[in-house]
Amino acid sequence: MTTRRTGWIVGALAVALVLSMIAPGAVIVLAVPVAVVGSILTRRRPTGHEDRDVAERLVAAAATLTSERTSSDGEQVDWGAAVRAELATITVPRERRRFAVGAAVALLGRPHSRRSFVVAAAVAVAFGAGVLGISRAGLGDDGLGSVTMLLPPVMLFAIAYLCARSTRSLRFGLETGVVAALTTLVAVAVVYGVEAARWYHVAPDVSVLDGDHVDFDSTRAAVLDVVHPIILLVHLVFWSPWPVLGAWAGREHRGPPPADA
Amino acid sequence: MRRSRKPTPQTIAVVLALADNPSGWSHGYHLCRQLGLKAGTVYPILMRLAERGQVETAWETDPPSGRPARHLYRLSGEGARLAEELRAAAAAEIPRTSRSGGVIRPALGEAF
Repeated sequence: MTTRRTGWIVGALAVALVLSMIAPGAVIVLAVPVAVVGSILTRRRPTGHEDRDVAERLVAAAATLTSERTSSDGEQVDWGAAVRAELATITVPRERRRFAVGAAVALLGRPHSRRSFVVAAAVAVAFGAGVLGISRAGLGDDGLGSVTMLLPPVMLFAIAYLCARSTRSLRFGLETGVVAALTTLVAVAVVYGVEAARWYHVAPDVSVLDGDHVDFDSTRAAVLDVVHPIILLVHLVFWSPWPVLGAWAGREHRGPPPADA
Repeated sequence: MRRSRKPTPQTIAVVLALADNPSGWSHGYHLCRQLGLKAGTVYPILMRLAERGQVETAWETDPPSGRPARHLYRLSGEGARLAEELRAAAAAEIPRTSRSGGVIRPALGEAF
């Protein structure tokens, strides 16, 4: 346990060090979730199942990723526990592996919750409106890039954390966080496009992204500069760990589920 | 509004296998073996049927020591009505299938 805690501290320091070279403000904003997740994870108790075979590990991983305690009608359902119990009755190794693969596919392939999309859409609209408001108030010296890079990780972490924690469902937290990341990226692209076109007419030599002076020869060039696939990809890569960490932390916050999942 | 789609042959096989079980409750793995279907096929069907209220689920109340309680499945009243409809549809389908030379897959054929 001490080793794990040390690992998290070293990891958080490494992340902070790298971020401090890129953007000093990011250290505070992004190192906090790492510290939260680390402190929660290092409180975990040993599972006592270290001797599990591949089949059981596979089903256990799929069950953990998709765990949820209640169905839409409020009845208790735990399909992960159901397939794990069934696996426990199979003794032939090859048959266990076949069953485990099928069960994992079944668990991971369950239909997505509509609530995830509703929450994700609301988050994207709110964030897009916020960025638009900031842009209309003035770009300042740093443009919108620092806002669109640094704020969503915190927001996505918080949403995934709250969703996973409130429903005790890692799946719901993950789904909502990941879908929110994608919808927020679309919102950012739309706002960047609109605002790049607008600012080109107000101040043609200013980049919406970072406030630097750039010579654009047309509105189209100004728009394409900020909605470039590489720019959007960098955003997504920078954001992507945080909804995952948030969902994980949200589920772990309540401790292990009462069943054997 | 729920979409009404024609059940797949695998869904029909699972429903009829549950209907044919004289003891009432079935296990997921037993259904897989009985029908020659993979868990990745049978469990999504059971999940859907349970969500639609066509299958009732329960946990074993007195499992043998050393292993967890298994999850059990049986048709609800609505599921039993679905099974009757599917049986009637299958009965009506068989003469046509015979005339057209259609072949029922052996593994799924056991369920009919």
